[in-house]
Amino acid sequence: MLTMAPAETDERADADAADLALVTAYQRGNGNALAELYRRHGRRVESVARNLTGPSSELEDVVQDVFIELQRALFSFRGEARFTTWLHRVTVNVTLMHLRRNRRKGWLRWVGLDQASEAAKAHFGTESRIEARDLCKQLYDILGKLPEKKYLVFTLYELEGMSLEEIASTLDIGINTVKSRLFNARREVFEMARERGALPAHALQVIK
Amino acid sequence: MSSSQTTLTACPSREQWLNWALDGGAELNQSEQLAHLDACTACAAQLSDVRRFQGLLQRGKAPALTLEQRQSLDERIRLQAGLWEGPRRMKPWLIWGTALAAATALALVVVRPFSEKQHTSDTAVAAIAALHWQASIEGEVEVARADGLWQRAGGSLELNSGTRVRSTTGARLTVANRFEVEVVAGSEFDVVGLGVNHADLRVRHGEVEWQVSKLHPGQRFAVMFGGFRASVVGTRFWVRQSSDGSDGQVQVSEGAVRVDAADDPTAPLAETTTVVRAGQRWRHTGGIMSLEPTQAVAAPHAVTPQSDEAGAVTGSPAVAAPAAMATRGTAHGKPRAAGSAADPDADRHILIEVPPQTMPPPEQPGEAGGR
Repeated sequence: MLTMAPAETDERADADAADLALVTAYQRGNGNALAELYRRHGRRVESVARNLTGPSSELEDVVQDVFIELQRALFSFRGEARFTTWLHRVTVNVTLMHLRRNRRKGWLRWVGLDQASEAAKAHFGTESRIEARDLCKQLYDILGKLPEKKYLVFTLYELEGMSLEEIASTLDIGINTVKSRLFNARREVFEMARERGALPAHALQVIK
Repeated sequence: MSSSQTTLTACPSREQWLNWALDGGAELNQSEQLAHLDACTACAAQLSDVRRFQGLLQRGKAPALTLEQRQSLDERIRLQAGLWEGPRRMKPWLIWGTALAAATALALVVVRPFSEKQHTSDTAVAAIAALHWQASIEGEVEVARADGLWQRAGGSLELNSGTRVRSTTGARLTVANRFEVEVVAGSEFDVVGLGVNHADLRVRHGEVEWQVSKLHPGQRFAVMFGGFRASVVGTRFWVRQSSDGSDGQVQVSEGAVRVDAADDPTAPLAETTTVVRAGQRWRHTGGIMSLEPTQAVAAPHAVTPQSDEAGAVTGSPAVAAPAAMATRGTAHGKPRAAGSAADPDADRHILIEVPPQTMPPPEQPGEAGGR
């Protein structure tokens, strides 16, 4: 278990206190507080949403939806959890709703890069990055086949870089459940990756 | 290490050390894990493969937004933040009322002809259209862009929620059949929210004069300034707010305006409200609220709260905490009247002394430590 240094703990406490002050300000009618919360946390929200949605042309909409939902839900925030944990929870829920909605509409869960955003084109535009573009497509093709619960844990851990504890708090599940889902998700992802030639056959055995 | 250990199935502890290696688990001793990795080439090779795959995952991550997309998103959120709405709590009667209304609407949909439904649709479209008001401009105004820079507006301007307007030379904006705005040179205001039945604006600094068309029941026209709100009762008035927030004034030339301590257009009326009538000026400066005539002939004052026997004007603590209350929510003390009903001068001049704020100055929270 990692422990935080005192200075890091202080910084975190200060950040949490600032977040709570902004939430309180918003609850009392200061709309600018929401803008400030966005300034502080918008990039992280974007990152979580981006890793969950994949190369989607709707990332902007998803992030805005998160803040619309946040705007509604801020009135019920009582500071019992850390604001960031709570925000991540909102982000995950909104993104999942977005993914489910697309699925119900019969769309592909992750659009092909041809249909993806300008960001994808800019990101993968150079010839040297063609491999990365294909990789991205393959990766999200594979991840799209995971059951939702495993998909969430795997993506948040492997792509977003959240700790097991953070994932447990965000998804409101036990840490052993996180570990179990991660273990199983890895096995399935590696199996599919192996089938596609992204991993040597023997690598899979280690997690079987 | 024997050759059999080079096959994975021959390594009995592979699951434990792999979990440790991947997730930092503390089930096993670290030195023991490292020793195993050194000794078991098969496990080391497998870990290498897994690490390589994790590297592929990182390289295959979806791309971030472009600068243009991010700027667009920033602007969308900024506008959204301007649309503050109070908590939406449905009252029990409202829940039943909504259910009843829904049932009635369902029945109507079933029995009413298509033309009737078209009317509803038109109403909805009109309501949406009303959220973007076109103002004609006389003089020069500038509008804040998404990147924070100011851009000069031409002969007309679309006012939306979040629109921020300033004029360095003075200008007049006219929204037909709604209101006229006289922006005194060096003044700035923004649109907090616009709706079919409401217009909420905020004077950031300077002096802005509003002339408002007659309002119908249920309609609202409110101007916020320095933690106070001036709501139109019907009429022509100006609001002046100093840049540092220490001096706010409302002067009415026609009709009447109600002033109360609120920084939210939808908030219920504060206990202490002041109705400023034509020929009167309301002022809040240095913690003192005053209402005085602007003409030589004194206008009757119109402070709605009742004075008690000692002459103190009763009011909620909210009155004592104009701007700070809105941003931090802590109010201190009650207002105290310097004049009273018994005072012979009370008809001409009412002073309400407000205890000084003890709140700290507005903070600028630092960047959160998000990754």
